Amino acid sequence: MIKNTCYILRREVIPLWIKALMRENEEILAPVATENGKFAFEHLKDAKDIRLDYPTTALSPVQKVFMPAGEKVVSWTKENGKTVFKPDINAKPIVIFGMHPYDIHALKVWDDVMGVEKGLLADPAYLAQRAETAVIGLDVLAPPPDSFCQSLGTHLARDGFDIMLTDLRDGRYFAEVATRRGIILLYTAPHYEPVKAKDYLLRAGLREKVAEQYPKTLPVPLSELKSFLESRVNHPYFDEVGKLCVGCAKCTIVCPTCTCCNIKEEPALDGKNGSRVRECDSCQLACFTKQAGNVIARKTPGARFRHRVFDKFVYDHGYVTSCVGCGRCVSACPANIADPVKTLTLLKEEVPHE
Amino acid sequence: MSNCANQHLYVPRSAQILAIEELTDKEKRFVLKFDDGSKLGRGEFIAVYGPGIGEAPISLCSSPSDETFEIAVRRIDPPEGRHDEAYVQTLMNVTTYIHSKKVGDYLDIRGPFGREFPVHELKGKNIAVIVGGIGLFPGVRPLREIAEMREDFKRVFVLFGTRTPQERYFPKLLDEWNESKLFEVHEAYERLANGERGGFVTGVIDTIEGCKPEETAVYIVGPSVMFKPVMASLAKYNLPDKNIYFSLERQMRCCVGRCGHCRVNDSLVCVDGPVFSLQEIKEKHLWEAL
Repeated sequence: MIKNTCYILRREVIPLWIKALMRENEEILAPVATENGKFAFEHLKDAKDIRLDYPTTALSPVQKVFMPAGEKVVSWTKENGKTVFKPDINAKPIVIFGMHPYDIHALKVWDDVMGVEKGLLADPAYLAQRAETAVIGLDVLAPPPDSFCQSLGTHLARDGFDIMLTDLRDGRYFAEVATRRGIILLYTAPHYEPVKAKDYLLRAGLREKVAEQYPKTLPVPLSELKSFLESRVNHPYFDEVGKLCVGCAKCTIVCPTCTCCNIKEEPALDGKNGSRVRECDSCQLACFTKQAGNVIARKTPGARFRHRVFDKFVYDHGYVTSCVGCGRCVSACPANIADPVKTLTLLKEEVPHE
Repeated sequence: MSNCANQHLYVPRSAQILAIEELTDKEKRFVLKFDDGSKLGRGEFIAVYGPGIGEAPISLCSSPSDETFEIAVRRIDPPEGRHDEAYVQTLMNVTTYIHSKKVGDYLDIRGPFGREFPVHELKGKNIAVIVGGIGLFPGVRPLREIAEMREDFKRVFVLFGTRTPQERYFPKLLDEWNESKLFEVHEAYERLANGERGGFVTGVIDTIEGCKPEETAVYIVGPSVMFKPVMASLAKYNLPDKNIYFSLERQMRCCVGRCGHCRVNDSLVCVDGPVFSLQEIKEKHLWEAL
């Protein structure tokens, strides 16, 4: 049952609509083709560049918007022996156009980690940027390579967007509008039509068909994942995989739900003022858990690999799993080990010796 | 979406140094106070920030009821001629920065953060604080709080293991507690004053002999290498898991549950800890903890 208002947009209207959005909004982040034949979410300069047929992007738009490299957190100046601090919260209005459902689900994990519901402990910069960010989703037409979203239920987004577009493959787009902001965004389109009963059926049918086309399936049912992994904490596979892992941290850099960060210093050369900047960090690096006295909590690459798998599937991030099944880590991994489906399959086949 | 985020979550406050005490040649104790006289409040640690240098979580060693607050810091000299970060930096870290401060200077702090050893919930029990090395700094916070309401507790032990008799860090406090019979203080030195081999803190644990397991709580605070031997020495007393507390230590960047550095399985040391009971560690499957 869809309670949201729905409209139909003709394909030829889409570029005009994007042009109108570009006039009204400061920044549109949309998928474009890159020089190396891949796709990326980038600041849209020309409405013609948008590629709504993109399979997936190397990086999720979530990271680009909410943890840009070198984001300032606090600035300081030294005055009369004291340091004066100023919080740096620079949110700018952004419309993310064409975000796939798995990235919309990833954004929900961020909401939990960044503490949308945590009151005074919530991240101020995240909340400010989140309030300024509009999400125009786009249903997956052809599942990205190595993805397994249907196993995790992240192949469809029922909420978390302002507008959800579906290509009906007959020259029309189905637009489901979920929020007030969505209505304002849609009303900038030069032309839209009411939706008919058969369009709902058409969309449901298409969505069902795409769900069957996902290339991979998780070998363990969602409800058993937690106990499955917890019973394999000391599985020998984690030692074996540690020998193969090169520790490049790519799997966590491309992961749309990896939120871990580092805060670094950027003092001015005279040392009188400066700022603290946030940048993404990775649990796959040995120095991530280095403590006083050079003690490292997760010493081996195997332990760090296991931590990533457990963090995605076992630990509670307020969501079903923090893995959304996008398959980005699979194509990023140079050692070909990051694939969660492969990991779970191998953990399932080999019997752990006690 | 709730929009009540604290805009100053990452913004430190300035606190003035009222007094500095040299504990040994490497450790100093700092007494701090906010200019506006506001109290620090409850928490296990604060984050001390050196502008342009970095931030580090530092345990509190004053009682929560004090008007001022105290930290004690060991100076770790950075290795010579090596830059760990790619930024232009002086050869300084947070500990050397704090040590360079003088009385009257200001330190920038955030906090307090973290869950403390639950002194109030353990009223009526025997308490044993088992401390290794500079674990004494966080260890004295609950002890000072207990000292303020000593009559509410049964026997209270301070079991302290350190390297040499010179490294007692708070000699006055320890002697005072011992002489006034406020607490039962037992110390172990790895190397005695005459250079002979001494013992570890595990050697003085047997002084709690005779305490009923149900009525006894222990707080183990120190380097993580000491957890297992201490647990082994405690095993014969059959203390219930909920009465054994650990103070865990992890690296952290944000101290508010965001950066992920201090994650121990399903818990974050900065917001869920750093003090965990053995019961919690077992129930939540925190197998990375010990």
